[in-house]
Amino acid sequence: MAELWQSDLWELSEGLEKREFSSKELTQMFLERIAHQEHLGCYLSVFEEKAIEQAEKADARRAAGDEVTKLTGVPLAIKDIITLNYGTTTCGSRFLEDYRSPFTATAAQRLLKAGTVILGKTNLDEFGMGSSNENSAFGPVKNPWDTSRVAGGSSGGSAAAVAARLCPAALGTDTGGSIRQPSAFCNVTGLKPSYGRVSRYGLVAFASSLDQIGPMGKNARDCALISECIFGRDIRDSTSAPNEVPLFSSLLERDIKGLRIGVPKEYFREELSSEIASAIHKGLGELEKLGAEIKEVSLPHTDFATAAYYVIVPAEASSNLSRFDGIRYGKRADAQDLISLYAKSRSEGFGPEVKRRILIGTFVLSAGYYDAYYVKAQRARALIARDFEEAFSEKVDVIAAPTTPTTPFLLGEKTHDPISMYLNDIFTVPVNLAGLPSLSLPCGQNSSGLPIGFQLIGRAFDELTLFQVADAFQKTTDWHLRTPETKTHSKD
Amino acid sequence: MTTKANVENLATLSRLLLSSEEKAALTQEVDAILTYVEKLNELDTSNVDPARQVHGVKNVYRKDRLKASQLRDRLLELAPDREGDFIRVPLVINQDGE
Repeated sequence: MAELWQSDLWELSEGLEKREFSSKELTQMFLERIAHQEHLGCYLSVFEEKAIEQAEKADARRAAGDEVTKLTGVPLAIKDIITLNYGTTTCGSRFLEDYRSPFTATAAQRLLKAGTVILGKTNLDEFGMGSSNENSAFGPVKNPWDTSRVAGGSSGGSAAAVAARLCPAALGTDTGGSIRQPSAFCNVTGLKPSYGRVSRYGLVAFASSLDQIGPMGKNARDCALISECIFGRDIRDSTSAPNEVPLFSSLLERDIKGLRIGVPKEYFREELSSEIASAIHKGLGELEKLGAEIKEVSLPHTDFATAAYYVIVPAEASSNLSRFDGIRYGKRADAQDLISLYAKSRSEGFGPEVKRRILIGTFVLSAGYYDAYYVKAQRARALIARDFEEAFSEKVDVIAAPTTPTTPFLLGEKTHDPISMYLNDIFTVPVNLAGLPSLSLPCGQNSSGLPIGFQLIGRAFDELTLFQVADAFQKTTDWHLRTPETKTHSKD
Repeated sequence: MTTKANVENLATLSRLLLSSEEKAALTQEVDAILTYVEKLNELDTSNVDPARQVHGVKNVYRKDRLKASQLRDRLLELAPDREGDFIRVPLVINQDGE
């Protein structure tokens, strides 16, 4: 079973189908790899027994000739903000350190129903708030490409686990870039679906008008496979969209000749590292060779997106996090009266970034400031969404842009400067504000060998075109196949 | 130094207790963040409606029907302090009824 960890989901699925190996063997191999790479901090919990049990069930399902899917027996990991009705769901927070969800998120339920094996829950910034995974109460994730650097966030555990081959693919969540930024930092392919594509039932709420669950994997075709399993209307989430879900995996082949790809001039700015700019221009050159037409477009309100985002998000977060009161579940501090019980439990349970956002949110929602900050930000949001609509309505089919302004920074480099941390999201937050789908994929390495990613942004609910363009790109490039040299692999 | 927000008051409203170091750091950080987001004032938004969400799905009502929940015991087990089927909390109303 040497090199199996390098296989993508399609290859694993085929191997399982041909009985070249069993799901149990595959699962055991990943569990061993996980045990050897604990220093990376990718996982917050590993389900040694439950995963083997699920793998045995998948093997039995195949042996009995029962109905199987391409994902039956395939092991995956999920971000620890998505609930399962077993194990803990910590959200990277002390407050929920021992929280055992009584129910399973719809996205996870759909994967389980398809017969996947869940290896464990991955590390994240507390409640998804962060861009470096340093806001996890259980320690940061280290970037497998350079362990002195961040893996990105907030889905840093999922990205690093895929990069270090500690799972073939994983689920992440993206509120302002939390799938795409760590994907770019770790040389992974990750999709932030259109808002409403994936049910948020069982996803612990952070900023409800923006949060989306999405796949992270070795390539676009793996993301397509997971997407067709988890996408679609769910009665338990009234914001989940009724739009039909294409059978992505059978529609990937497409000649992209004549496809119009827009490059927003506002994204090629001073803050963008020159190495990233040149990697993206080379990537665009590849797409041009495949017949795509590259055009410049303008998204004039880009500059205001981060400001609007850091009003809307704390507002929604402060409201969502008011449920953590220490009464019904989670951390409860010792206190003599109810008000001190709330305040002490929350203060002991939440980390600094969460407190910061709760305070900002409380400020922008308070009576005297609501219009000046919150409503103003929502108006700016409308303008940002309109920029994209205009670009898509006349000029282009897809927009291509850098995912991040820099390659992964050092652990500790930005922890004392919240604004410089927030500005790491300048290229990802506009997409969430506009509710659009966006896929980040590897397109190069800088002079020190650190990965570079770029994102393809699509029309609302047009994930298909993103998969097709990314798949065409990945058929002619090998960036996505590169893996970091990791130290201890004692397996065969 | 005058600051945009009274962090102590915000903390009370948010049910958070802050140490004096936290208060000092957060006063500065909150101020810097608010200064940053005030960049939005450069935008003319007089003819723009606020966007609360962007994908246009409308609220759907469903029938208000009673359904048995299988989760009752598991939900109770999560309570940090309980007495039988009740969740125990500190005294909410003074004993003299105030």
